[in-house]
Amino acid sequence: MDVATARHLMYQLVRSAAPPAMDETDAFFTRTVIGPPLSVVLGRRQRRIRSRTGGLDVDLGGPGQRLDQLWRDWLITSHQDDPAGLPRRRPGRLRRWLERHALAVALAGVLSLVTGLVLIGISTWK
Amino acid sequence: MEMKPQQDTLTIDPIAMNVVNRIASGSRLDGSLRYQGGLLVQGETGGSLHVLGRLIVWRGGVVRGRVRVDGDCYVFGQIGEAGGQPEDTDLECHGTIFVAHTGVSTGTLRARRLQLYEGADLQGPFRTLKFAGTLPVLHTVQPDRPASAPGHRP
Repeated sequence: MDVATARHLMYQLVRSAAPPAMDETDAFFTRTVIGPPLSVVLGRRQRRIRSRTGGLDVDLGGPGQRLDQLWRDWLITSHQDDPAGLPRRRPGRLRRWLERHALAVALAGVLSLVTGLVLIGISTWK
Repeated sequence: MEMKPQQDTLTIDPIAMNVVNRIASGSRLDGSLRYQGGLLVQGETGGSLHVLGRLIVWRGGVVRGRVRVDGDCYVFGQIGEAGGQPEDTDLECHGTIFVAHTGVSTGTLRARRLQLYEGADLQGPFRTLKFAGTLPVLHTVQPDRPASAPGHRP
């Protein structure tokens, strides 16, 4: 590790160890003037263009590695502990739909449970 | 069939990101300006700017002139004048510049890292900032010299 890298790491450590203090009044005015937290789409990350005539792309990764990738994707999308200002992957269409209709999904589940219990009760009553 | 890669999203939390300054849409601020904390630009600003925090250029926002940002920079709007020259605007970012799919830059960008998103319009050059010479010096240790009293100049 060279001196510049060490100095950079020390600088980052000092910055992370001493976050800017914001009392309730500052937080109130910040939220009033700037606004509440919001999510915004950055877009798709630019990557190198892959030629169609570039040959076969053989995936040597086994199921274990694919599962590992899925696990890593899940880690990225579960962003509760992410540091502020760090972009993250946008959830897929199905997950966004489920999140938007979470209440209806939960209601349908409860209704199904109640219906099932009622049917079981009727069948045992007879 | 090749699947399209997923998009990235960014949650802008003004308190967590310490974005305490804002130039509202329709406002224009020019001159020698220094912002303690992050800055959200929805209007226009130019001149000599020093942002001690993160800079967020919103859609429709314009930043021009000599700009130094100590944190990360998120570009959804425009850096530099439309049709301007690269030397007209110089943005020095000591973190990462994220240029979103709506972002446009006609100026010169200098940063440690650059993250471009599909649709980003980079018309000016980009240069990488190196570590040495760009970081504030926290402590200068000179072990060969004897310790001197405060205020004493050899």
